[in-house]
Amino acid sequence: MLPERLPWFIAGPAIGLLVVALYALANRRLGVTQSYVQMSKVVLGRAVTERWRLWLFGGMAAGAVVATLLRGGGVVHGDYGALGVLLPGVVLVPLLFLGGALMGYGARWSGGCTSGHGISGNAGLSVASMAATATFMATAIAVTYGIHLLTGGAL
Amino acid sequence: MSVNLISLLVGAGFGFVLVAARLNEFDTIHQMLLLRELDVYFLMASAIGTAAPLLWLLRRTGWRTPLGEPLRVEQQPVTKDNMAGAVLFGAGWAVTGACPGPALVMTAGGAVMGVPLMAGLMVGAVVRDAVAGRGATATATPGPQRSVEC
Repeated sequence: MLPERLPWFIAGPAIGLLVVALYALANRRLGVTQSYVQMSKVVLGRAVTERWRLWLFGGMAAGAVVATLLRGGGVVHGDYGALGVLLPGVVLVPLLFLGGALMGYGARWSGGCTSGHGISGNAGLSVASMAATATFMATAIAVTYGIHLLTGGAL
Repeated sequence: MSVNLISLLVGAGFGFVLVAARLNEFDTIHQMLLLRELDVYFLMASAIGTAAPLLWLLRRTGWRTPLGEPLRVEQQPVTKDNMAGAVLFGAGWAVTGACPGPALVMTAGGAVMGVPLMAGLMVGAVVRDAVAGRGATATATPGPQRSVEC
């Protein structure tokens, strides 16, 4: 039902229109990291302060399920691409947890992530988002090359 | 339509597209960051290229949301926090090959390895908020114009 991979020239403008829709209809910036903050409140049994972020979160999960099923997936699996092939689970799980924590901490410190700064903030012409995007892109590319060298080209 | 319903629908579209474009896979992001595959850069650029002129036009024409609010598009100055946080974020992104949106949609699609990733994201975000004094009791400023959105 879905192509092997939706081409960027459809996926990109579609995401752009979603950013515009959320701004124009709800006055909200499309960004994902703060949904994790609201989710943590649910997990810890604390009062949710921005309920719309949970709806966004739920919507994303639902959309992902539909796309996965249309692709013929939808099976629970433990794959993690080339990283999962290289590393055993006992290493991969804590690594993903730590990497996730680094991202969560960094995104909140920076005031945005790849969606909030990288797409929405840049589309709104916020200089903070432009600077942050240039910084996290450059860092990610440099660290990825570090990993590439460290693993002797396996990654 | 309520803000919640709009958020749900926009989220559904966003989640669908992220999976359809395979941004939920480590290999896609890793090849992107190795500069071997430029699709994701084009995707981001075309998303910005689509949204930026439309948002500009909405602001120029004094667009009001269905609730009657004037459109508020976030504009922020560059700070040290921006940059320092972005360095940490970029490092975590490189290691995991999945940023916060993809982490969620991969997990929703059945990847159990997304669970520790999502747990880490939650813990990291909450710890930062606590450090910055924006803990559970200090989030009394809901709304679109907070200086700390993502």
